[in-house]
Amino acid sequence: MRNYDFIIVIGTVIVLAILGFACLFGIIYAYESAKNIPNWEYSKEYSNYVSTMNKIATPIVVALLILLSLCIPKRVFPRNILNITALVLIGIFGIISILFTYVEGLLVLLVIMLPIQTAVLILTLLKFELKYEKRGYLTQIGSSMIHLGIIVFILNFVALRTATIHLMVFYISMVLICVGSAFTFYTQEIYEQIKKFREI
Amino acid sequence: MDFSAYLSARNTVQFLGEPLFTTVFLLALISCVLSVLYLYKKEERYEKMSFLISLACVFLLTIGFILLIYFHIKIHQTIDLQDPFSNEIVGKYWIPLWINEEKLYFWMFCFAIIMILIWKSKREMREFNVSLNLIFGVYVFVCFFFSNPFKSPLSQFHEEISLWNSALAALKTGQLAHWYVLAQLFESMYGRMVYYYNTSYMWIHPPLLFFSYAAFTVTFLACIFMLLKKDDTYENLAYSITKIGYLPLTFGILIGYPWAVVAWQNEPWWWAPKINASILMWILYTSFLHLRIYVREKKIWNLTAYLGIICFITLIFTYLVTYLGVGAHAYR
Repeated sequence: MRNYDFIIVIGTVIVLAILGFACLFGIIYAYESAKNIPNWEYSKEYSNYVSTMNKIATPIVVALLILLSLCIPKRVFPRNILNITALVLIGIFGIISILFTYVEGLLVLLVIMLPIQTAVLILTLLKFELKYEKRGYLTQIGSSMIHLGIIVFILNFVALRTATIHLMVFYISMVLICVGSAFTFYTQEIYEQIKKFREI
Repeated sequence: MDFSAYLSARNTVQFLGEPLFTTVFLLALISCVLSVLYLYKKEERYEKMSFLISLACVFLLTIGFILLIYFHIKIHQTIDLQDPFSNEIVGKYWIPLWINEEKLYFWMFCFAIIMILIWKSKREMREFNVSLNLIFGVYVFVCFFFSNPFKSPLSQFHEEISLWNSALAALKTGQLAHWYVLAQLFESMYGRMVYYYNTSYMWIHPPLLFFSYAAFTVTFLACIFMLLKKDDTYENLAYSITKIGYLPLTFGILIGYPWAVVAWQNEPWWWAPKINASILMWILYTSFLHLRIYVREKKIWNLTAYLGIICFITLIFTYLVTYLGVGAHAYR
């Protein structure tokens, strides 16, 4: 399992690096366009640029989600099932993208992953024995919260961009990511504070 | 609006702040020389003297910061925005302490405090501490020459409010030829007040980011030391300090979104260079934290260290992107 985790981590870093390159491309493209096209930011070319960037980012986000999909059920299922899960998810995304659009493909992935990750968070909260790389109750809750937060965050941008609840859902994802990060990174400090509070 | 009281407060800040910051600059210079001497001769007394002088710098920077707080309180007390048509006061200014030239000062101030805390708690890491002090010297140098908050306090705000004051004076003396000029100016002033100077977002987003930038400066140096010394101490320090900076960075970036949705409704900010650069920086620090889990694996040590250095270069780039003039974040 350790090797498997290592591959997932390296895979995540590579996918993040690709997204980083996409951002770098965006920066250079924006400067070049602003230099050559007068009032570029208020022109049709700018809208085309935004839609191109969205198109570039989508497969990268899907790759991140696939890695996340390997990461999430690994708490519950053995490795062979994980590989099948990943292949199934890629297949579902591919078929729906061909039949409809890549946005729908991404949406279906997210809808599948949302209940799974919610279940993982609930099981972790209920102290079920799930497989985690890191030990400690708070760290595990934090890790689950970050994963759920990322799914809610992406889902919000894919499906709820114009909905009235967009900002509310954004705040929920933000709280999940930030509180999750705090639990993961500052576990020791939080435990010490809880201990002090109990002593009082 | 009591413009003369505002001017008097501004002059006081200038009068006291300039010599104060010049002293900090000179002390930082001496401290840097002592740090270099320590690195060269390895005599403990140089390191000790360097530490004491840096401590004095932090003390003076704190006084400078208090001076800036005083100035901001004075602005709140003396400057209000009045609708020239209805005579209704639409608001008083609550200007955050990290805008215009004060940004870099705040960032430097955060770094100085972190540096002193590390220096005090890890006295045995002498080479690392004096190297941190050299970086502090660079901060002071850049801030003193390129972003001195006492040279012309809140220059951009001052320009805006002076123009507004002149327009009001012209209105009183009957020299203002067109009312719509005043109306336009008022609209612009009101927009700046509501969505920039007085917005609660400005009290949260920038300081969190500057604090994380300050923490990540230490990560940067720790990564250089990881490459030079191959010692676990620096890897542990790089990780602990990145953890401290990462959460404010994430929260700081995210909290910007709801504000941007409201304030930049018709502005071109999606995939703008500053946004791209911020995402890039966040991605790199996330990768850094992921990669360091396996820092003991073959080749990962160096890779992590190089990544930490690239992260910091991206951070500086992200900060400078604002000044390059494309997108809603840009200064034009």
